[in-house]
Amino acid sequence: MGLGREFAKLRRLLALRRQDDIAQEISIHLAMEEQENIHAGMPEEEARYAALRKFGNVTAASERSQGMWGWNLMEQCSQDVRYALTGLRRNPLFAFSAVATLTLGITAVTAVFSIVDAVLLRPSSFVNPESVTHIEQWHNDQGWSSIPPSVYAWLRERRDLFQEVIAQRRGMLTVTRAPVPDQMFGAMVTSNVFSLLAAKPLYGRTLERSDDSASAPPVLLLSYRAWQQLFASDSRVVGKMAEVDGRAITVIGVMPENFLMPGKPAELWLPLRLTAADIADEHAPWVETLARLKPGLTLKAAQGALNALAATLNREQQPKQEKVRLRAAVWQAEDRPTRNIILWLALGTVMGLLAIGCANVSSLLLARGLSRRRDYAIRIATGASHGRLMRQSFLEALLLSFMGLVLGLVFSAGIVHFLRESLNAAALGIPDITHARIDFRVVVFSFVVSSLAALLSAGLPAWITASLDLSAGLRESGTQTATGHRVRRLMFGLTGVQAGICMALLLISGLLITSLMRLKNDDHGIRADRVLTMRLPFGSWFPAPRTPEEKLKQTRRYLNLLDRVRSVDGVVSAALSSSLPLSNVNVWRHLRTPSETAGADSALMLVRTMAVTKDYFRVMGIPLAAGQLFRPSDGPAQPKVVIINQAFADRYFHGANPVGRFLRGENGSDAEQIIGMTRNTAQLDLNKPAEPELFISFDQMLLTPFLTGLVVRTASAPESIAPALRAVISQEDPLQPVVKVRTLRSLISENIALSRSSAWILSMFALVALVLSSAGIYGVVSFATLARQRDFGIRLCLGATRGGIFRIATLQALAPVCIGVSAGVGAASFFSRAISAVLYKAKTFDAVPAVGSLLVLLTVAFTAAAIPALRSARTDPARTLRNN
Amino acid sequence: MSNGPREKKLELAYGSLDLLVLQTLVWGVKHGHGIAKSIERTSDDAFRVDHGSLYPALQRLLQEGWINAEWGVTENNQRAKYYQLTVRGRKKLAAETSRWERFAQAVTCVLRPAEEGEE
Repeated sequence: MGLGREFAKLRRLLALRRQDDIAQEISIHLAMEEQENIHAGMPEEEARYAALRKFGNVTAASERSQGMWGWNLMEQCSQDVRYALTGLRRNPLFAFSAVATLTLGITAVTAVFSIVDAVLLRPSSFVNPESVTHIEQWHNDQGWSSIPPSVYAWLRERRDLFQEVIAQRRGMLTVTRAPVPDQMFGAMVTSNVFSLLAAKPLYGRTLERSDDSASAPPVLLLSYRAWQQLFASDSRVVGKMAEVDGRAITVIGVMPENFLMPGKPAELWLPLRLTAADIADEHAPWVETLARLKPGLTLKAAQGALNALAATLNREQQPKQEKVRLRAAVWQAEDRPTRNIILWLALGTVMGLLAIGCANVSSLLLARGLSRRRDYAIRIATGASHGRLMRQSFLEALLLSFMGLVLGLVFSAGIVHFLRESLNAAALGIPDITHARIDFRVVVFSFVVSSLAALLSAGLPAWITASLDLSAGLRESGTQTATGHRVRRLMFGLTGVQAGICMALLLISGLLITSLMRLKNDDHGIRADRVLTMRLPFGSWFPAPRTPEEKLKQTRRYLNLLDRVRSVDGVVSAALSSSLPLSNVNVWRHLRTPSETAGADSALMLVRTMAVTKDYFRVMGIPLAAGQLFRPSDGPAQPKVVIINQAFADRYFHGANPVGRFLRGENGSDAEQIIGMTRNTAQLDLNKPAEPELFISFDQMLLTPFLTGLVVRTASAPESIAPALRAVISQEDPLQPVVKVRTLRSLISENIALSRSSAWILSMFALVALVLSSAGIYGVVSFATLARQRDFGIRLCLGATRGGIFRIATLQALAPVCIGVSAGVGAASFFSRAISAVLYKAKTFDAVPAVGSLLVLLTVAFTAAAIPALRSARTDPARTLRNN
Repeated sequence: MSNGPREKKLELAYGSLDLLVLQTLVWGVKHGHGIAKSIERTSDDAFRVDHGSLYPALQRLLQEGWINAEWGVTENNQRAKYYQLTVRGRKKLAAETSRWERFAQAVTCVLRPAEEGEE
């Protein structure tokens, strides 16, 4: 530190001495030349001027000589920084508006990027994710999917190919005997998952090898979220007991918040425990398999080994069975296209916002540069170089954008903190938002972005002011000069760019709002008010073999519960269903394609299926389109009947009346008659078009008891009846879990959360963009029009009419805005196709926001041009000319 | 007035001023003004050299180590800084001169190929 200061002092001393030397030398030179001129007979005064003329610019020469010695650059830079700071302090309004604009843009970009980074770009929690492959088997009806445990066992033995092979089965698990019982997505996994991921627990331990043995005690590992929700973040949870799917189990640990399991996020982990019997059993449920390739082994080599295995298996099995095909695919995280599109769109929007801000700052700098032309001209004449002037302009912009960066980082950290801590992440529809942080990566990104912003804002003004004819700057005065054609074109170009970006943002956000409104106002084929839904799970996703007698007993138990529920005061009607709409699970059933379907003779099809009691349609308010509902006579012993939805009829019956037709099961037997057809109704995602769906009678088939739902239409507010329902159910069957008690309204609201938050956030950005670009366009247009006053004066003198002047001025301002707006419309229609997956019944731009924003932009440009043009048209041209 | 004839003078190509300065110093030590006069005289006033541009060039040559500088006194008893060619400067000048001559010859050949052919 001290040494550095001494060194700097010495350096300054040396530089000062050199400066002195050069100055002396130059003055001696001038003296000699003067002397010579006097000898040649010139008068004294003229001799001095002649010497000066011959020498050229004295200051420039001495500074450039000085500049040959490197130190100078640093000195100049620090001088320039000081100069820029002084300049900004002298012009606080300019500094404030530029910094505020840039801060706004950088804050938005940083906050959105931190979310995009956390959710989309987060490096995989795997070590070397590229060596992890997904081993899949082909199934004719569902494509590439899980493999039989026997194939997993074979892979596990191939130590020459794979370092580690893991298997898992995932599904919904019911946790009871916990402080807050609930159903959550969980996975049964082999314990080596955690060594494969090299993951450490927050509390307790992860699964270990000893847990894989069938005789080991049952254990449960919790995700951070499961720990929060089920156990209310109890730090002494390890060792406590709970029940999963009715079996007592010990909690062994909690994973940290940032631990993300690859694929569909599981919240609970149990050991998979594949026994030798499971592996030998041909009909054992399949497992999902991930394998880490041995170092140096290629995917191709692994595929070769899988092909050989498939060939062996095909030789062994009976010829009529489906041919075994296996593949090793690069493992990829589960894609959530809707969320991804929204996030990229948000990042694009804030980039557009920042670009508009840059254009604003750019025009501010340009105007400032023009008004300082005289100053520049004087400084050039007194020895400043063009390069140095340009450097100063850039420095000024850099200073502005770095102030913006610092403020932006502070504000965005605040926003991200708010999103993470104070806001319900589910309300935004992006649960992973809790992982967003302003970390090093984000800071680097914002740094790069703000530097780019500085270059963008300062580039054009610096180049223009430096290349202006500066002697003209001396001859003319102030801002009222005829700013050259080029500058004016450039300024109008900026307004076009702003108008274009702004228009595109407004149109896109208008589309999102339209889509949201339709999503909200559509009835989606149900009557959502005053309906309470809940789950009454029984058994497990991973089913134990059930005999028909057991199934019948369960069905009877459920129907009994339903009768008790119906008797509760305030219940208008109630129904059971094998799963709930707007949940995150689909239940599929294999059926033969009806013979009426063109071109798909007797092929298998997978159809969304729900088993419901007859009142289900009444409770949910689903209208019948044809035929009839289930009758009391459709009991377990009667022939099976089904109800389909409109989409089913459209796809498989091509508009023909489906009522009365028969559907056949997988093996061709069991004809089921279609007795009715309903309108399309809410399924998993309100945003997606309805898929073919099949309703079967709850009395006739117990489908997925672990997802059984109860829907109740109530006379008054649905929440108020929940305690009475719980009481009645627990009275009837104390062991029956009651979870996920929600009103249908709140389910809908959760389902459209992402659409809602994205529509509002993006429209807010678009409105800010409109304000910013209106301000920018107004400023630029009025400045450029004012600068033409002299020109207008001359035209008036030469006989132009006032109307003519007015027309020229306004047309010149409106033309670039119109061009920009049409480009914006083009860009918006391009992007609207790219985001069509997130739009609900909104394909074309709504007229109101489109025309409205167009009018705003045109009015702004028109007013900005009209006011100064009117003023100069009204004043006496002679006076205008005299004043300028 | 004096603008007319001045505009017909040649602008110096970049770097050629260095060469001229080095060449001027071949015949002995000189101060800045002397160098300027000498360039004016020997080039028959063909080049337009602002005396001012000489000083950055001198600093550059000093930095390269091709010349030395020392304060001295002129015949008129005036203090002045004298410049002297160093050994490295002499080598540089020789190399540059031959390079320059080859370059000039080549350019001339390109510009007047026909004359060359006739000879």
